[in-house]
Amino acid sequence: MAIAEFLLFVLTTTLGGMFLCGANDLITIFVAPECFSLCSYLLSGYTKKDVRSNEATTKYLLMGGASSSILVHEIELQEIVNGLINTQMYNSPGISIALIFITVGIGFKLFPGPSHQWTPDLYEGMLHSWFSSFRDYECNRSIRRQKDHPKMIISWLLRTNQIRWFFFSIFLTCSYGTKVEKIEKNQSFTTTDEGFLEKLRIIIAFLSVTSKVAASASATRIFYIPFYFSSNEWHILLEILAILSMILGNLIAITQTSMKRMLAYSSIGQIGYVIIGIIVGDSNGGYASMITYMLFYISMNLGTFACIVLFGGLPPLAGFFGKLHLFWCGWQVGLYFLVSIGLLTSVVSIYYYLKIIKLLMTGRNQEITPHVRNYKRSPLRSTNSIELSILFFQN
Amino acid sequence: MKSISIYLSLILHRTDLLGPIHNFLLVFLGSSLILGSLGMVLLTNPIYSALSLGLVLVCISLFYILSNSHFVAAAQLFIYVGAINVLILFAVMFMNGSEYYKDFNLWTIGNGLTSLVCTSILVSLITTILDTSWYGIIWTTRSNQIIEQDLLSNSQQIGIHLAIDFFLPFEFISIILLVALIGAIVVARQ
Repeated sequence: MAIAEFLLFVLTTTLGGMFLCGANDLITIFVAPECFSLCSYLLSGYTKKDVRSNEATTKYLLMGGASSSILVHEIELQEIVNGLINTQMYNSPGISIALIFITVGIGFKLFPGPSHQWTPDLYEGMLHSWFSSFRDYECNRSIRRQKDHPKMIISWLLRTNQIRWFFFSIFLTCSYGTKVEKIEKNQSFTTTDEGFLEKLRIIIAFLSVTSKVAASASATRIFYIPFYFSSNEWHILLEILAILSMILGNLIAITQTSMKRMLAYSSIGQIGYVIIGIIVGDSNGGYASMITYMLFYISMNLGTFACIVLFGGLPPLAGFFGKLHLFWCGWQVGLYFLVSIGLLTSVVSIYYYLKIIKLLMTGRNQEITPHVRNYKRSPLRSTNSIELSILFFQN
Repeated sequence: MKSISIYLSLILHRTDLLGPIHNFLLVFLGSSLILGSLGMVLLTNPIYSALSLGLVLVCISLFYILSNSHFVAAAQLFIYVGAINVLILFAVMFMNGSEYYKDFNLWTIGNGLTSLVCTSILVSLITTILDTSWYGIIWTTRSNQIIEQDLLSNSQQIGIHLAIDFFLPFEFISIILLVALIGAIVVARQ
């Protein structure tokens, strides 16, 4: 596993995500996810020796390829829609067809409800290979003498830099937030430095978080700027997607026995909440709620994937604050059904988060203790940082 | 290719056969397209499937010529038939052919769902195409363009758009090509 190509793929994935967030025309909206997906397939298949990682990569690649082809057809239909909008025909079937295609295309990238099948396999395959190798690397000094650069860098980052990464992720979400504010004022983007160096931390957290942030940023732009006049239709579509993903993600997560798959399903559920934020949109600070939720989602996910054995109770609490804001905005706009389903599924998610903590307390694994010693001081500090950022956002 | 089609259209205008030949070619190409795609899906020998894919792509290229887009027709022949189809055949040749000749035509429920989705997509696309006023769209978009643009050929217009309007995605695609090349080597090496 040489390091040069590894770093190249990571950087190019980030580049693709940045271009997606700053896209101003449809061709970039197609080309940038292509670049992002291509590098993600390569990253997920980086450990060739592990069969499960190969399986995960193949599934991801096939699904990604299918979704890219759907997206291409959507782009073509979108051009028709532009022509139709020029002739002021807002109710033609062409617009609804283009809308359905683009929802399906973005749906595959974001993986809400119906298209989530490849996610748990992907997480399980990649987490298995990377984390087992990290565990062996940390706990076995003889292996550490070998020159394995990606593992050295990443485990070093894991050991030393947690607090700084929390702050950095907060900073990055702020920068993402300024860009989404520009959407509200219908300005165009000039610089994109979004979702960036935090991803050097862990590849899986990287893949999951970046794809979601980039895809939801692009979804926000796509649904608000060209499709402004047919907002009722895509509200309905996105509501269906949100309901499906929340219910499916949280219910299936209860029955999981493997922690990695449980995390994958919980991330599917989180996307449902994010979609509520997209629907709420520019009234009542809906974008602000989506950004806040993204922030908590990023720090929660990073915390999860870093200290996968130790949850600490912190991430669910911070996540609930973000959800509260999101649900409050949704209630104000009038999406009562959606918000009530969201509340129900949040209660369900508490159940499986607590199950993880309970598993922790019964002390099944021997490897907890070094991590506990490392992390004992960090949860206190990160509580403060997250509350500071909450105050910052409310203003 | 462009000059051939111009000569042909000049000749045919003399004898007033352009309309019927156009319709005949449309029907012929459409039916060969459908036959080729059916053959690609239903044939059991994978090499026959790959070759009928080649037939489908050539028919699409001829469709592009009928629609007066010569550049895309040539590009389709080069890239799809000449590179992608050859690559598919290359990959198919690696497979051990003897075990694929068995008949596995079992109709499962997944097949039923897929056929339902595909039929609905077909019906919706047909209704969309028939209900859209293409004439109105062409008129409003044509009035927004530069006046000299009708005097330029297709390839010149594509070049202008690539170099001016879509310059950034164009350069970004070169990065994608680089990463694809490096990725292929990294995945395939020992």
